[in-house]
Amino acid sequence: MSKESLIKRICCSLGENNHPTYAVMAIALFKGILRPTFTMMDKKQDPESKRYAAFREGVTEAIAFPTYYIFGKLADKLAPKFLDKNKLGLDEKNLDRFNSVLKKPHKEFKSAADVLKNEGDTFKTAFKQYKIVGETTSFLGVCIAALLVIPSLCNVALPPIMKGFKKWQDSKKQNTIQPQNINFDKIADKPNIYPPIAKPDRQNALEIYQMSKGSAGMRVGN
Amino acid sequence: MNVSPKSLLNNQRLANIAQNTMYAVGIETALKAIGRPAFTLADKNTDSETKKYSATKEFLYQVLCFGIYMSVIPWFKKGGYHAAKRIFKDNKAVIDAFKEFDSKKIITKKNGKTKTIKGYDHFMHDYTQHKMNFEDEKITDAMHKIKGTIEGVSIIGSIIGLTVLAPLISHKIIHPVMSFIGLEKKPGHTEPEVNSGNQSLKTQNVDIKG
Repeated sequence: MSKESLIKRICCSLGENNHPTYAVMAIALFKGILRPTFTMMDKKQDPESKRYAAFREGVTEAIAFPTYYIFGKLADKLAPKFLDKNKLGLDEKNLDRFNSVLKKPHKEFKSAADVLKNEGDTFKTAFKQYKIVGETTSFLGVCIAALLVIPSLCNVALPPIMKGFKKWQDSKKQNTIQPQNINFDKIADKPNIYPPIAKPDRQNALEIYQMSKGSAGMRVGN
Repeated sequence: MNVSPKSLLNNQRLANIAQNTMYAVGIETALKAIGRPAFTLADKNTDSETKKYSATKEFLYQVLCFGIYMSVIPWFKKGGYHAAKRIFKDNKAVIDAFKEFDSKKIITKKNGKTKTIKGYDHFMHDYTQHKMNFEDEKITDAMHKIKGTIEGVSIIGSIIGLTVLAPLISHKIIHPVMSFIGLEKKPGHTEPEVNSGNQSLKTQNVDIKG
């Protein structure tokens, strides 16, 4: 599959069905990578604060990413419950048939929808209404996740995680050698003080010269 | 007018909003600006000062994101329209569709005044009109491709706006605003999520022992 055809397929798919979760999940993923990176590049903050803030931002987006996916999928599954049967334009017989198609797994439904489309306008309207409900419930799921679920999950999950991170930071600090304030006023051991070395008993040169002046050739002491 | 939750979820207009990246991400950002600070203030594990600081900072950040996003995304949408010309240059139906949308069209606004539109505006007018009037059959395969390209480039624009531009600009703007409000913390102060109590670095007097 060439690069160009992949781009075309993505564009075609987004044109027919642009699920609200695609954009928000992509944003959460890149936010989780780039926001901590920019925080670490901030020169105004000290390294410890930066690491703390970056870690917290990363964990927040790591919680957000799967939550958007789960709530989007959950809303998709609940969509048939919110379907307004009056807008489907189906009689009882066709409604039973439509309900049986809804009960099948989603993948089958897509192909079954193609079959239903060929059956005439009756099921086309019903399928279109089903798509509308699917899109709106997915969007509602994303809104509920953004407004309520993700902030409350962060409130519950972040304190123990950040406590653990702080403990790890503190233990890392203790392992490094800390510069210590030395109290110079109190010295436990006095240095060894040796008695001053006595000056050797030697005559100076002047005294020797004066002694030898008057006794040239004579032996001293004889 | 029936505004029950069920009727809302079966509404075509809401579905159109859900399918539009700009509206979906814009609404989601606005909800984050409300939800995250509210839950931060409701957190019982943190002291009051830290809560106020975190909530205010988060609110300012999300408002900034919303503003940046809304100002940047229209450029990406128009860029997506032109990108579709390049991506589907081999598709005759798409090329013919572009010839139609690049021609001028005069529309009448609700206030009775007329307006001439062409290019991206012409395409969006026709596409939205078909959708809103439940005339989905008039939305051709070519229009789907163009719309899909616009949405794809919008997603890329959302990522660039919210994950690159917003953090870069927020560092310049949020600190001065927080200082102006009087909530800016001194450098070196951490922002604990938990009430870890007062911690201070104490100098240790160490006796040298032999």
